[in-house]
Amino acid sequence: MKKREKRLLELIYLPIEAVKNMMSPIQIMKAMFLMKQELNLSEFYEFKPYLYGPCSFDIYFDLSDLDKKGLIDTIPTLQGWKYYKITEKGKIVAKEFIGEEDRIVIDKILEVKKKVLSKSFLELLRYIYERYPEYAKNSIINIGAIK
Amino acid sequence: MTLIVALACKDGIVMASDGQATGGSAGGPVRMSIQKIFQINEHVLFGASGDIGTIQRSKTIISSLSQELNKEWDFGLMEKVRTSLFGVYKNEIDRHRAFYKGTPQEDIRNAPIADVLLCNFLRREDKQQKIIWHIAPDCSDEMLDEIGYGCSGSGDVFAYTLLKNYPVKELSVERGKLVAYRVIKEAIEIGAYGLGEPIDIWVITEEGSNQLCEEEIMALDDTYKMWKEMEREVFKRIFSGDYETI
Repeated sequence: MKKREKRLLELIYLPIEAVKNMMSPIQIMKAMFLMKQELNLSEFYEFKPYLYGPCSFDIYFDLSDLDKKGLIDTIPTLQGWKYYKITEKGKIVAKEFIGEEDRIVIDKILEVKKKVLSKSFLELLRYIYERYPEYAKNSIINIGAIK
Repeated sequence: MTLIVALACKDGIVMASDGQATGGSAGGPVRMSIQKIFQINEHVLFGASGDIGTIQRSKTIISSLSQELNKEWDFGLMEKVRTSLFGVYKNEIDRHRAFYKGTPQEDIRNAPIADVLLCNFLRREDKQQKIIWHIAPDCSDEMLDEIGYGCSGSGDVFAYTLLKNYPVKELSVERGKLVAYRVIKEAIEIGAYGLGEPIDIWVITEEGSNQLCEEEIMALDDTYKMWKEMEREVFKRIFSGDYETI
């Protein structure tokens, strides 16, 4: 498994206190993007300005791969979003990866996950678009027009 | 049931379809996944609804003209396509009538048909050709690029209802993909019998034609959900009288 995919699994696994441990694809995308921006990681996902802000199609590929391997699972919601959560098998594998991971990376994963999960959908978009406007240029949402 | 849409965007054409076919079996109708849009050449895409065999024959005929269709289209070439297809369709109707003569199935409305959408986007030097060509089962035809979109299949009413809301011709191909995705997705969700996933999307731009990969379809699905999320937000504010915060 590539290093970037291991980090994706770590993000989905690492629990945040008092928060349900599952993430929507947009939350995952934004969290991985923040990691890339704030840690300047090598062997990581490349992001492009997409219709909903920063996006990497490779993350979708790896999410499907983790799902096929039985390491993560999806939960449908009434709004149509599909949330990702870790499976029992995934927990075992993720713990192994975390044992080999740099402490700075783990702390950053926890920090961005906490940040992303604490924000509403609109707050999260605003947070990303305001800090990284070059990645918002193709977005279908003009966040400035929504107060 | 099938739904195929073609959008004439600012910088190219987007074609999208549902991915389900209903076939016959000894035990009754069966559902199966099927591709409904095909690349004829670098600049031309073919999509059709109707009976699988007639669609296949239509595709074979159009593919045999692939090289000619790779150049600028003119009246002569388009007549050649239409005449060739007419031969097939008329033959199908004649065969159907002969076979079912004297039975309740004789009506030609029961004959196998194909309803074709042929799209062309070509930009060479200072010339540009953007065509959405609809060829009906009786081989009457119409150019739909002027309207901005074309639909084929018995699910088309869903598409027309949704597409009338969007300024398709002003959209870039990137945004056109999202509109096309939404139209097909909502037609499937509304529960039209016989429409189903996977959604297939193709584009023709200056760089040529290509099919969207699975990951891009997943990204479009998330963008579609985000779009709906925003609509819910706006709707909530309008109905609470909170206009000023939009």
